[in-house]
Amino acid sequence: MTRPDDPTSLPAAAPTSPVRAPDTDTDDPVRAPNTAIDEPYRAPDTDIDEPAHEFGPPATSPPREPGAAGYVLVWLALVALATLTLIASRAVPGGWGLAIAFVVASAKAGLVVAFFMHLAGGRPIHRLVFAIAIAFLVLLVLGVLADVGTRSLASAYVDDLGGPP
Amino acid sequence: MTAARTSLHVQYDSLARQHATARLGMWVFLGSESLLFAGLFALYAAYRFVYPAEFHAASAHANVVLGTINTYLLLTSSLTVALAIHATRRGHRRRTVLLLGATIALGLAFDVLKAIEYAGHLADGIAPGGYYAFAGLPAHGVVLYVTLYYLLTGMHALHVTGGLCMLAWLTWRAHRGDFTPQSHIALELGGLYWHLVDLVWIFLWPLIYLIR
Repeated sequence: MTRPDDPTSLPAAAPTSPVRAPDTDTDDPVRAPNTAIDEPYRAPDTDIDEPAHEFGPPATSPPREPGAAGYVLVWLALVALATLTLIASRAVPGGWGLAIAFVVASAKAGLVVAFFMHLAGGRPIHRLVFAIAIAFLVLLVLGVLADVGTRSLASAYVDDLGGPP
Repeated sequence: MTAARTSLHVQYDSLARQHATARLGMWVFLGSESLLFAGLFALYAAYRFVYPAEFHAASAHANVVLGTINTYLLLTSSLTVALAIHATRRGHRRRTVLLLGATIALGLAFDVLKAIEYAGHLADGIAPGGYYAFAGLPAHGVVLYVTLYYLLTGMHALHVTGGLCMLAWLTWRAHRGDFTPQSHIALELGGLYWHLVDLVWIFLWPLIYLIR
């Protein structure tokens, strides 16, 4: 769409959105028609009402949030899980202790990502982007562990430098 | 002047669309940040696999008390930054500034405790790489844990410090009245970054301090 010449007019205001009276006392300079187009445009009004969408919430709506009480509940759960990790690490030694610590840490991370970072109430594309990054992270760590974990098997086929014996 | 200082760039027809793009870009950035730490986590996993006994012995000398206090500090700072954004959405400017200030105080406390921890280790000779001079444990294998300890926690502390600078800027902008209930994308994305810093520590804490 073309930029309106009058900077005080609402950009792409939907017909149904409440139209505010244009601010006549803003300090924005009146934009000449041939002003450089790449100059950031200071919006005189930040009304972000979108036209109503027929299917679900609009993709541009901000993520839903759990609310203040929800945030405090999530925090309480995080503190409880951290304390559980601490107790488990003292009570359960060895590999199982590490496994428990890792599962609890993953649960804590899930709570932070889903509620504090609004991934549960955000757009699916956000979940997809982050899930791909985490999948690559897991792939990297598993690949490295598969390497060091099978060195004793590989020693029958390769020498210390990695070549055939 | 009461108008929010938010500029609409020419390629968008509304601030909502511009903010949706910024939000997606932030998630891509957080994904790449996760992969930055993934390399260090993979190194840790490999060396812990090769030297399990040495890593066990070395982690006994980590300062569990300071590490655990820092865990609770960061978890609480995640709550305060989430509540700050919630306050902005409700239009409470003063509460936003106070909650952001609390977040900064918690982050600063984290950095101070981390510095005390580092000073204690260095005084004992628990230093990375060739500077390792701890009399209590032979360097074999242990020096890898110690070096990774400094790499992982140091990279994380850099993120905390960078996040604190960002939070200070956001607090100033909130105080100035830049953020409205409809338009506060910088605050929202800054909160996401701070949560990621918390997220990394959630995994660092058991790996560094609690392995037995």
